[in-house]
Amino acid sequence: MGAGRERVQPLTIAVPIHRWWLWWLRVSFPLAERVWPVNRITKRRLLGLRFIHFAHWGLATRVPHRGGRRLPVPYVLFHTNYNGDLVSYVDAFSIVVADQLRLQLQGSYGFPGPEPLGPFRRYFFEKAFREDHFWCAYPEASVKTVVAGMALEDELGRLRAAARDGDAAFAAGWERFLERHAERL
Amino acid sequence: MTWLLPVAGDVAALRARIAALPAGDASPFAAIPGAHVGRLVVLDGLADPRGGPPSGPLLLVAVDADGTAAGATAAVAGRLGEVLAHCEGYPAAGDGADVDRWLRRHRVRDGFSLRPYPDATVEEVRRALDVRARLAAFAVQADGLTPAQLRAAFVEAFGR
Amino acid sequence: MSVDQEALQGGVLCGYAFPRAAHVFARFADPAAGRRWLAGLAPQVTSAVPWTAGKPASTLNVALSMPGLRLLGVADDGFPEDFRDGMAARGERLGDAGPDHHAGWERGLCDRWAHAVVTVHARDDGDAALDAAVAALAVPAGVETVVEELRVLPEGREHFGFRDGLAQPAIADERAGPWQGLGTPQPGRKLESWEPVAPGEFVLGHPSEDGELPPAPPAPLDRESSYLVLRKLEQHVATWRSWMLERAGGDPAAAEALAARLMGRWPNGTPVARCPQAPDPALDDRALWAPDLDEATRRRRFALLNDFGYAGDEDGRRCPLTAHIRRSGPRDAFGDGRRSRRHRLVRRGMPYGPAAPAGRDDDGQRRGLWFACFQSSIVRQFELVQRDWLNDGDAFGLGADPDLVAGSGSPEAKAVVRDVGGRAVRVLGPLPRVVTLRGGGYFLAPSRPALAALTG
Repeated sequence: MGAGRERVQPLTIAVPIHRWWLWWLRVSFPLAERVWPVNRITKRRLLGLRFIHFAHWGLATRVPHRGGRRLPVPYVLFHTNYNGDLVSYVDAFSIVVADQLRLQLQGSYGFPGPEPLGPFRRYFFEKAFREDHFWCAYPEASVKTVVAGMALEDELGRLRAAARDGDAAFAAGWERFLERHAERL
Repeated sequence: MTWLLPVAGDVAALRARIAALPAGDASPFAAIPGAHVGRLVVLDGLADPRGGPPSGPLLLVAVDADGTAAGATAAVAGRLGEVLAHCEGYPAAGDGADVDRWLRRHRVRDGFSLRPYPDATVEEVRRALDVRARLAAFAVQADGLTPAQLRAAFVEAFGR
Repeated sequence: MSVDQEALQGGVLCGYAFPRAAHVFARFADPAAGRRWLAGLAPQVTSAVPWTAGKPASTLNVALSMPGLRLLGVADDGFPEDFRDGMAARGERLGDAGPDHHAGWERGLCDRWAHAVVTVHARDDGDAALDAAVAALAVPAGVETVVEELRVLPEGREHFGFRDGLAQPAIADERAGPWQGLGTPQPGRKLESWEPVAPGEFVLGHPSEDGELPPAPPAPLDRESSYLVLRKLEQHVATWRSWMLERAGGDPAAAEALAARLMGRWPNGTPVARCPQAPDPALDDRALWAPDLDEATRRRRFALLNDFGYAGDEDGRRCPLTAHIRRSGPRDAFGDGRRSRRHRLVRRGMPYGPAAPAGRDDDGQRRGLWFACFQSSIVRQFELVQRDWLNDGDAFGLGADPDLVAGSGSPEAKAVVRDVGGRAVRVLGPLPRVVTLRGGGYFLAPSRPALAALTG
């Protein structure tokens, strides 16, 4: 079943937040995005989930964004591309980055907290929109295969170099490669 | 990059226009140089939790692409004009610069983002996937080969 | 709130541990025929009440497919899509293609054909006990049946030679559990402190791990009922043995080590994650049940069969990432046991067919495992495990590689194993097809009062 399966799935959410919470997000988002080591700490666990290709959080307050009419309440726009089961994605957020969810959504309307999982899942899915058109340049890819492939690409250069040094050297190099990277294949 | 655009007129017409877009390699996003992913989402209305009327309808356009923001904006303007024409204020009679300016006004900047392979271009991603697949196939083939056979098979598969 | 053991059917939360059983797939010519027969069986259905006066000679349980429920006048409303569709219709989603496709299933072994499956277990090993239990069903005219006989193999092994059914969820219920088994490994705590699993993961009408009642059909099916998934998995033992031996260079010990790595357990049940190099002889069946072994030691040894995880072995150096038990029950392999807790199954599988004779030759006999599992959501539990963990490897970083034992096979599939046949690391492929699906279905084991109400 796995081969040829389209793995990259989209998700789009708009979360209404209290206006007073907007100011916190306007401070905390740039901190988490750009200031070391806050960004490192914030992103490490999310990246560790290894099923998110892209995820974007933005703040919508006006339409048009510059100089347009003010929306009645601000919204966090969240859109992402992920691999695997959507419910597992949302549950992983609740379990693995519960504190970050609170820091981001505590000031949203109706936020039930990251756990128990059922109410949070409902809160989350109520705010989701169906994508009308979605396209991906590599729909069969997963985050894990891309990241593994990038690591293997570096190794391929070493293997090519070893191949120039004769049979025994290459065989030893191949064994070393398998020892370190076989599980990435 | 993300744009949030107010829909002008009939949402059903916009939806029909989007539904008519070809999928896969013929998608307009596929023609945007360096695009990784792209989406169009019609938001019928952003709910007002205080009980007011929903805001909208709105069109969310999002694309992740290599290169500069200006380049992506210009590419979106060029490839999605027939869709964008369903939105308020679209400068139908204007030139590319007008559409660029109009899009820039509607851009919602990222507050926070996540990319596990942040600097990789589409080509690099595809190459990484290809390398993994080829090395995996080779590793299966390599089991039990003598050193001489192993090296010969590797050189044949990957060159020197 | 404790599970109502009078209402719940037996075998769901606690297995019978009987040596013989039969699944009787039944199709009703008309609603009256089905209702009459089931009405007669309903009072005999075994409950979950513990046996205080010894084990009975036999047990009897009933589960109904969606077509069966419809025939009895139950509307589709409130049933989840997975159950309404049935297993055959979900084949594409499940990866049941090629030789596994329902077009090739054995006659009658499908929830499109069967309105009900009646399962009897016999306490005694002889044919007579099982025959009597099946005969006691008194199948009338107007009910067509297909009978599938099951038999436990010595030491509780399945046909590939591995002890089976060892890991079961411990249930957080004051009467139903916990017992020997597993809950959810807790982050930051010792493995020994598993958290029992909420009964609502397996029984409708009780809070699930989410702290909420799982979606349920209308009363009276909404309480003390459980969804049953059945799959007849034919095992190609000769292929399994030949492939292992050939890939191990003809060395039987290396072949056993290779098979153990791909299974995730040694044949006696020793987890590879705990003992990668050799099985623990203290876990042999004979050693576990030695008459001179004191109860505390026995309990400790049983715990060794299950009290392990994969945290700290993220790259699969101790237990391969592709090991069958790691994929079907990842425990804390995703870094936090809570991430897999909503995908647990109570497994009640049993072998069918004669034990395979020693050697690599195919004796032409058909044998395998009648897989059975209970859950409160088929899509979230069985289907997720089968589709996302066994037929696809991405959750474990294995790309599209399916599981050797329970996956749907792929010519590109491979497995990475370490320390086999004197080689540090090997990448083996293509993996042979060692299992073929011969039938299956989705059923609902209603509570005893619900069954009585439906047939009354």
